[in-house]
Amino acid sequence: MGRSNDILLAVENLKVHFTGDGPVARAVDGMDFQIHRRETVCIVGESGCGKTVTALAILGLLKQPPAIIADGRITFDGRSLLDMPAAELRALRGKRIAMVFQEPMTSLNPVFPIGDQIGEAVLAHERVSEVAVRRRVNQLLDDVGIVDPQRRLGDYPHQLSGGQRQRVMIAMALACEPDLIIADEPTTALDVTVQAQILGLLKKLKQEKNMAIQYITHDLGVVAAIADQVYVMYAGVVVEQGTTGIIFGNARHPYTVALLNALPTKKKRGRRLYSIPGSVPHPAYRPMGCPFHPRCEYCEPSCQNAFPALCDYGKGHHARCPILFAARGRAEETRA
Amino acid sequence: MISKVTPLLRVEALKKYFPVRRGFLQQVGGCVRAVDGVDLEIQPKQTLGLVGESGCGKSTVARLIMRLLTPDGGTVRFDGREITVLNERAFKPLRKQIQMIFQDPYSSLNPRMTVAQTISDGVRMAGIKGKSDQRKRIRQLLEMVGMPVASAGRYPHEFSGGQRQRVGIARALSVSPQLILCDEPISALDVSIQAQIINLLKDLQAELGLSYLFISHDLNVVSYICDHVCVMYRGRIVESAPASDLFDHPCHPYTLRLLAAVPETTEVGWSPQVGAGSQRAPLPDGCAFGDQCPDCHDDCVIEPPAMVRVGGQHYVRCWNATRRQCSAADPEGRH
Amino acid sequence: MATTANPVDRMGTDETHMPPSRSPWAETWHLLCKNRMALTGLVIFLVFFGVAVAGLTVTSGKDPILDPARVRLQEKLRPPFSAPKTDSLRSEELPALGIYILGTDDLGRDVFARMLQGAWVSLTVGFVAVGIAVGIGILLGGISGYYGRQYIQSGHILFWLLLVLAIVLAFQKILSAAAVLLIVAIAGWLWKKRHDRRVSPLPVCLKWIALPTMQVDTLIMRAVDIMLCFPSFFLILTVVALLPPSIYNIMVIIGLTSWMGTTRFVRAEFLSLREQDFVAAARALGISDTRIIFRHIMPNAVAPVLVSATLGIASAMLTEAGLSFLGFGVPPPHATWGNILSDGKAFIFDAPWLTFAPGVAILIVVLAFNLFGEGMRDILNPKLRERN
Repeated sequence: MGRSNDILLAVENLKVHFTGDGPVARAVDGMDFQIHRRETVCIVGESGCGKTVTALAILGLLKQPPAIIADGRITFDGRSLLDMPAAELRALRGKRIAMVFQEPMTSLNPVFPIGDQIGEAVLAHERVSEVAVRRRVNQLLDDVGIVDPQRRLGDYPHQLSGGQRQRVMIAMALACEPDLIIADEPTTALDVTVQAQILGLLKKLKQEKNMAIQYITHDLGVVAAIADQVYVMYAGVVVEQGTTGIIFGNARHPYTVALLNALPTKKKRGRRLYSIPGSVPHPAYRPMGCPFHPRCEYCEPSCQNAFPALCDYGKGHHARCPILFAARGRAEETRA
Repeated sequence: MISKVTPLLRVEALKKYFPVRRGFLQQVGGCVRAVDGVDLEIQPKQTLGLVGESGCGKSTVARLIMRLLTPDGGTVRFDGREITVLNERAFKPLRKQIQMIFQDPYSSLNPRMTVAQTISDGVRMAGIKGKSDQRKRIRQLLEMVGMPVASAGRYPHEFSGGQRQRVGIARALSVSPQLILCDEPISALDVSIQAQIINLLKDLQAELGLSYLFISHDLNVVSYICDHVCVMYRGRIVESAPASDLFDHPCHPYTLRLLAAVPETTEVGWSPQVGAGSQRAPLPDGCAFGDQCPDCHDDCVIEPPAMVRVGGQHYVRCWNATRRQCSAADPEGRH
Repeated sequence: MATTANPVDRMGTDETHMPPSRSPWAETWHLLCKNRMALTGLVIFLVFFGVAVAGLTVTSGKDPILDPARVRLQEKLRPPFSAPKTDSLRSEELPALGIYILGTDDLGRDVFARMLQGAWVSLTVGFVAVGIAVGIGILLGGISGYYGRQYIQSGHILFWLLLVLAIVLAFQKILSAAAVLLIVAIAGWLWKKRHDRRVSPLPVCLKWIALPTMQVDTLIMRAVDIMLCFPSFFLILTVVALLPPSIYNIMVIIGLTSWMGTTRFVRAEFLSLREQDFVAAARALGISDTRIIFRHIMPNAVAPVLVSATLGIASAMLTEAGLSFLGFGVPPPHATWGNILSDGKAFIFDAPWLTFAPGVAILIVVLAFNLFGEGMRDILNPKLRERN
């Protein structure tokens, strides 16, 4: 993974805080990750862990205030996004970074036909003729697997099913052939069969269009299906990162391990499910030290005070748990 | 679907059609067959899974059993007694036997009532009089679902989704029911919380001898928690089998498609089959799945298939079922 | 039965990691304190309320401290803050405060005293009229929203016809016939009710009784539409012209012509709330309809109704002032802000305080109510509440 010239997006020590009445909510609290070209990166975490806020920060779509970007850098293709003038950022959005949202119902405008909406996405960044736009929209709908696009151009969003709407959203995101698509839980609202179709579509499009995908989800099954690189988030920080194979085969952080153990499957029938005690801490009332320590079964006194550092397991695999890292080190020493 | 033990709940040919009103005068023009002849059986102390995509009518089935909606046909028998013919007054005692847990932990609790007030409604319906007895029972219920007793005076908006769902479970338990209809009880919860609620439901089942109708679209959860599973498609049960049979030897083409679509965490880089969905028109007379089915043939177009027994308690609504030899491993049946 | 959840599954609700407990009303109050406009409105309203109550006590009774009806022809059109000419007045004619704070009118009456008297009128008109409107609105809107899908059967119409006929006959002093009709109606009602409980089919000759005619919702909402078709101010003018002039008639008439908005509002709230799962859960527990309506739905529906009621009070006050200004309102000599304004308009250049005082008072109070209402609307908006 040492292809540093190949990095498309780099987020370093990003901190996004929300101010309002009461204490400051540290939604994202020191987030680091990178996306290489033509790579699918999954950010996985539970609700309130800051994964959507990170995406909005990248696109400059956070409402400020109440949000404040307290610290950190976001670099896209060598240029800092946080220092970029608004107009330039707007030009970049949609043209080079596009976003697909969770709710295909609400992210399409109900009073315009879908053809016009996709056309608008094209026209926002390119000056092309009416006919060319038509042709392009046709092609895009065909790309995302909508049968008989010519006929569907004039359809209104309510005439489409949830899966088709999500396909239209993806077509809009593809309109200007972006380098990066940020997909925020695009299949959460869909049925499993439709989800499988959309995931397959994203995989195929990524190959065809040479895009990178930042895929945000809470569903570990989806992660296993689509990701190249996985970042597991908890309480505003990355707690574990690695390739998909490593995360699912050889997870090291107690949270990741617990999540995988807590998934109900056919094979665990009859056995008691492992469950993580407690609940996700409120962003304004996070515990001191390691954010996971009140729910962690390996918790030691030091976890309550010191914020854990990322420990390097090699091959790009990092986990934010020095306790288990040290334990493994000792185990290896004794074996040696 | 005949068994030796009297089932706790037996649903036969349950129907619910919603009229579709259209036009200027709102005249009834056709109807949506939300539930179109559903048969179910729930054995005492067992969990029946009802699986299907959104809009297939699975929540409507629960609401029909609970009498939140009036069925348009069919019978529901609870403990051998037909309850569809009862009027509201006669049905009221049965509401203490059957309870419901809802999907959305946000809309299922009254935002202007404290936890104690929410649960006390049911405690009062259970016939517990006297303030101190009620308080004691509420405390006991909260402990049963693993909520701190101090939460009684708090309002729902102060809790997380998982905690609210626990309050919803406590409310359902307040009348000491035998059967709980769980309408997607965990799909709105965080991953790390889902396991807690599943364990809680299983513990309560073991300790109180509850039966569950577990409605879900998540096949992994259903395969873990359910004893018997029914797969629903467009208002009908298309396959019904003990959980192990259904997941090891699925038979109906729709079940096969559902199972193929579930992403597995053990299978990295799993590639979903991208059938873009068939564009054939739905068959007006034939099989409901006919327009989507990969091996739909002439029979399927003419007549809707009947439930066919393919072994044990494994039933399938498909003309091709016998030919496909589903439960090949177990032709005699286990029971 | 006493079971306890497995310790692993305990929530471990650590109090230190939870925001402090707050009831929804306390939360509303907290948000209100942060909304400066709404708070200003509330403060002005409270001051106005205090002034109106104080005004009532000092201006009414046999020998009021400030007499709004005391005519002093030699003291007419005195400007504000002027001292009375002590030589020409008898001691009981002197204003209680030693000066005319807001001057005097063309009959030498103390404008301040009249304003105080008028404040109470404005307050009661606003509250009683809106009370009537909200009462009707909640009742009809609630019925329409909760029972709207049910059909009115021919039997129901027959029953009400018999009842109305009986009342009419009773007014005509044909008491025996009225009693017979009443008994027939009630007996029929009870028979039908018993019949419904037994779930047996009606005899063929009486089938028509259960014939559905129209939905409850249709009836109520079309009644609302019809009421909205009338230009209500002119409707009020017409009715006031027919009725004897009295402050109570005004209140009732304003109330009876302004319930439509609340009805629609409550209906919409009920329609959305009755689909919520917590109502389904309450029904699943077998809780009675009355309890569901009043304990579960109403507290959730009432907040937005209060907002529209607050705005309604302002508009009722304006209507009353308008009616009084046109001379159709509260009969003289009782002072209201509207008729002080009306009396003053002839002297607008010689004695501007006569129009200025009631005009500004109406402006401030109506503005305060509107600010408070708008503020409450923002505060009670669930989208804003989700923020924290």
